[in-house]
Amino acid sequence: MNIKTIIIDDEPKAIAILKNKISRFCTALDIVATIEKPQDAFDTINELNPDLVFIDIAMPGMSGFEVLKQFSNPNFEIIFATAFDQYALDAIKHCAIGYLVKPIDNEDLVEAVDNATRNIMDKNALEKNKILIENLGIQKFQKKKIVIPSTVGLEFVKVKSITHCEGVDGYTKIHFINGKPILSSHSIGHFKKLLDHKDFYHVHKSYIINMIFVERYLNDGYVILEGNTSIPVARAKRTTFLNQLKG
Amino acid sequence: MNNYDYFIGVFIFVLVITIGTISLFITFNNRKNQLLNEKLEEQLAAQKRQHTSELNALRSQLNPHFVHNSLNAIQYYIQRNEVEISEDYLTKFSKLMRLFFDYSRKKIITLEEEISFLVKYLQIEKLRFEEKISYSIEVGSDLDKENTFIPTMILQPMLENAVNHGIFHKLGAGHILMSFDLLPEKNSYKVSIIDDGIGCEKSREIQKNQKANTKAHSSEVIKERLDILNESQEWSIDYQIIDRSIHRGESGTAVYITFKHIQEE
Repeated sequence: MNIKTIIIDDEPKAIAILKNKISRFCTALDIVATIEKPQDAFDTINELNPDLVFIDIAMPGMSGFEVLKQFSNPNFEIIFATAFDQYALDAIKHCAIGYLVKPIDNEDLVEAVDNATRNIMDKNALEKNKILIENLGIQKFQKKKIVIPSTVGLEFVKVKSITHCEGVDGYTKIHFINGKPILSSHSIGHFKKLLDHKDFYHVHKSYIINMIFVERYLNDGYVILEGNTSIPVARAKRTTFLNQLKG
Repeated sequence: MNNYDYFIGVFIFVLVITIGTISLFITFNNRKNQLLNEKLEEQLAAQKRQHTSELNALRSQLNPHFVHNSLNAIQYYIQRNEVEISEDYLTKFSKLMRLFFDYSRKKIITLEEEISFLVKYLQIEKLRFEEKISYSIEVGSDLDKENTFIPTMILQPMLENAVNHGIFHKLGAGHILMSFDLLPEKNSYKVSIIDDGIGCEKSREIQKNQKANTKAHSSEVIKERLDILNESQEWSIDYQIIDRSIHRGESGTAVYITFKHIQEE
């Protein structure tokens, strides 16, 4: 399988590094264009219709996100690259889009490309990219959507619909205020990172709760969520948890 | 009977005096403690402010974006098997890091040390930006670099702003001119950082568009640090940022900082 690939980065050195690594470790990728001016990206992508695009985030005049925002139907798989930008990385992770940090590690590259290859076959790029664009225009975390890799595919859910996550034998069950729970093959640790925000509290090694659904706290170490679910709070976390509840 | 009345009178008198003295003493003591507490709290608050600002300064100086981009540029030369350049830049980068850590613990360094530090920083930036960036540093011949001091962690973040906000977004190459000039007033000198980038107004706009919720901007951190230095009574520092587009035919940002070192007698 030949994957039509485009690289966008304002730094010629960064393009050279990535090309070199791809030629050594990702031979399935066929680089059809490299773009140094982000302003050129829109036309080139429309013309070549790539499967996969590597996009640098911090670029002069137009950021990687702004490149993406120009498309009404961005159906190409993306792997973002950045030297450091916590805000951007969080936004990308929420949508289960691939990313690499510079300097790029060979193993990370291979893993990101493997994931991307799978996603290209599953054809789920358009939805993820659209959610990223939508999320970028939203300030409040609870109003954003996140992408959850479930056992059957990708699920797109609103943050404010999640009541809690429950770790079960290395899997994670995500519970909602309405509707059936989703089972994800990722561990609870994955969701701790995904929901890394003050509204989500890791009350117990197997539970992360959405603070907006907390109804009351019982002194024997249980917190009651809307819908009458009771969740244990680990002994070591009770004091800090209570402090946060009092806010 | 008279004697008894007299005794009572004296007793009451002594009692009143004693109570008066004790209550005066208590009031006075309370007030003293209160003042002491206030002073202590003030000192603690000032100390805390200083620590926070120092921490912020350290954070703003060790910009992770800069660190990783530099390492990325070094990776490029390694990949191309350019052993000498790779080695050279790796050691330069390491030296710069060493200075970052050294100077962040010091309050002041000499202008000579500061300038050599800034040059090292610019050399590393040049490794990444190559021809896109050029710089020159001019030092007034009457300025005694070895015996003139400067507070640490002020100029480098300002210089980094010129690189990241001024030159980075510019199409084509940019230049940064730094100059150090003696002022007529005692122990005073002026530092100018002038770039021909896109200007601070435009750069602010770009930043606003690209990020919704940015953390404390580096220029706020710098301002806070200058405020604290001015409060310390050891320095009197003034600074001014000008978007050069106010002058016809010019573009970029100019930062002027005047330092006056108030030495204790």
